[in-house]
Amino acid sequence: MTVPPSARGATPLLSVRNLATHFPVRTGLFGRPKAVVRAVDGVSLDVYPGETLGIVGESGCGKTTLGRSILRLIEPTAGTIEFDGVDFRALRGAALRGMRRHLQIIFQDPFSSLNPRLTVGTTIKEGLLVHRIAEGAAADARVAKLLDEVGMQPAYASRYPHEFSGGQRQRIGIARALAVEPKLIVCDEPVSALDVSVQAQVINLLKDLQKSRGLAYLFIAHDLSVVEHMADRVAVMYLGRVMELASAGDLYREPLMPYTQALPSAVPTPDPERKRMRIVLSGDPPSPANPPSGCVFHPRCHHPARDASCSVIAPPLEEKAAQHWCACFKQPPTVVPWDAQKGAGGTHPPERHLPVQALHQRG
Amino acid sequence: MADTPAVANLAIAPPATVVAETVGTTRDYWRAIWGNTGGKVAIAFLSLLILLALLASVIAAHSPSELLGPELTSRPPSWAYPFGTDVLSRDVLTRMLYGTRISLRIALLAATLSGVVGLLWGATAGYLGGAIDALLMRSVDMFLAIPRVLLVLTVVSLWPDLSPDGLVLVLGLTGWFGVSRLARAQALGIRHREFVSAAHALGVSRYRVLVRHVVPHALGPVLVATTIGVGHVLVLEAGLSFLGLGVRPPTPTWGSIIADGSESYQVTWWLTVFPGMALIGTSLAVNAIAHRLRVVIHPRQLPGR
Repeated sequence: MTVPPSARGATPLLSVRNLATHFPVRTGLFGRPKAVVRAVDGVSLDVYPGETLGIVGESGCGKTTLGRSILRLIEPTAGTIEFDGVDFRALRGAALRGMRRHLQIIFQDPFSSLNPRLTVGTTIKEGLLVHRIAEGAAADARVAKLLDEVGMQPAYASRYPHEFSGGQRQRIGIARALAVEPKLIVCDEPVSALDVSVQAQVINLLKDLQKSRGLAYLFIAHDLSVVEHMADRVAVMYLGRVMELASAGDLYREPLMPYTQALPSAVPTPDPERKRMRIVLSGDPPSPANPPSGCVFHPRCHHPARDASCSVIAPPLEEKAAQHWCACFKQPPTVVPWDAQKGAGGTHPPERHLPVQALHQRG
Repeated sequence: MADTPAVANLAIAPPATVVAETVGTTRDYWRAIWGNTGGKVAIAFLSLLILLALLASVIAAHSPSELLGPELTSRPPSWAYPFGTDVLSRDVLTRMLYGTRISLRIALLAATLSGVVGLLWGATAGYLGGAIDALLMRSVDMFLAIPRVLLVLTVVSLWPDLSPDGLVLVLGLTGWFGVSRLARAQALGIRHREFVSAAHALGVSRYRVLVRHVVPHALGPVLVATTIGVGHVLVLEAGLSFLGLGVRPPTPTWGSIIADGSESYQVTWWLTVFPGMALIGTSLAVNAIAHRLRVVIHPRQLPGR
């Protein structure tokens, strides 16, 4: 697989190469793995210091598994994770635990992410104590400062999670992550469980914290408008693979991958009068236990040049325009020669297909 | 905002619902017991028994193994000897008071030992999972396949000069198998909660996660099982002492007092009735408390919160 090079000439903070996380499906007692669910299958991406990389995709495409595999909360099956120049996958025991303070996570469900038996202060303090950042009164002072930083009263430290609303709990979760002074935070759908009015507050808080602390975010979401607002660059996932990776502006202006082109059609518009062209995908995403051959998207693809070769050749993630990566050899330019496509049963040569842009021209 | 029409308020999203969680603090448990008549009676009964046991040496008119003389053999209850005397002319009230001390002590300590061992064993198995889980729980299955009474009888009969503390050890270490299954089930549920993942992401060691996050969440059901276990151990100890295999004579326990009168129970009924009532009453009280504790853990399954 081709590897996206550095987007800004800077050194990436996090470098993921060909990451795969497979889950064996076992049956019966002492059962041999009957099938393998390829939740994440060969993902490569970079996150630069201070940037937000958005990850979008529908439910079950492996976004959450990707985030947790990068943090090694789920152990990946293959691939490399390099964080700040350190081979993160090679770390074990105390070295791994020590490194963990630099990579934190914010969860989707603010009701399950806090231990109901511990006070807010105790929860936030845990990281401070484990990494010996502060102890005793100094730790309490830190907790007060962190609560203030996420927009909560320091006096709340002695309260229990059930006394707070979803948005407040999410702020507590953010404070817990910030306590150990991370460089990267994986935000796993941090606002999906919140009311729309609270979503904006939490997103603004995350943006403010990014500015003041220079944080990098891996922002996982299925809400395209939230990602557009948050992310500098966006990776689109489908069936455990990255299908397209570009700056947020490029991706929304000129999506190249037929899958990405269909995504905006799924976003409801607040104006019922507005006419828009919709690309409605047929069928459901295939099972990651039994993905289609070749391009995993080909059974649902609407590209006019789609042909038999799509079910044979797995498309590489290749640079179509400057810093615009897409895994589709029917969108030129491509490194998959026409002869090779013909050899695999291809009947339609690659051609640019931009239905979304066509919509703009009409409108 | 005062003159904003009511309709406009509908557009404002309602505050996020706070999901009611069974936090299960010490106060919740205490309130569940004391806020119920049955619970109050049970607590009062047990408190009285414990008080009597503690003050046994002050209240009792005699020593538990003091022989009052051949003319005071097998006397029915009277003002001088409210619970009567036994075949060896010992005061039964005195023996009951001292017996309460031994019986309750053994029951409480053995049940606690079972609770602690079962909690740690099961929580470790459920939290770590995989091969360790299989190893720990299959060994539990193995022990559960042997009836507890048989297991206890075997150990006790092979152990000469068994002290009350030895009996605590035997009863405690044969009573935790069921508790460990409960604790494991709780740990399995907790293991995939996000706050456990958050702790791992923070770099908290597995030992610390087990102690700080997993064990406290398994505590509730284990507490109930342990309370019920007190009743079981109480009866089991009485049974062993009745057979002469529990606490060795002349130390009195409720079971051994019943045994003292077992050969002539049609005549010396007071040797059976008083310790028997103490056994039944204590078992009922302990079970009533366990039932109230369950209300905290499964608030929706039981009426009468």
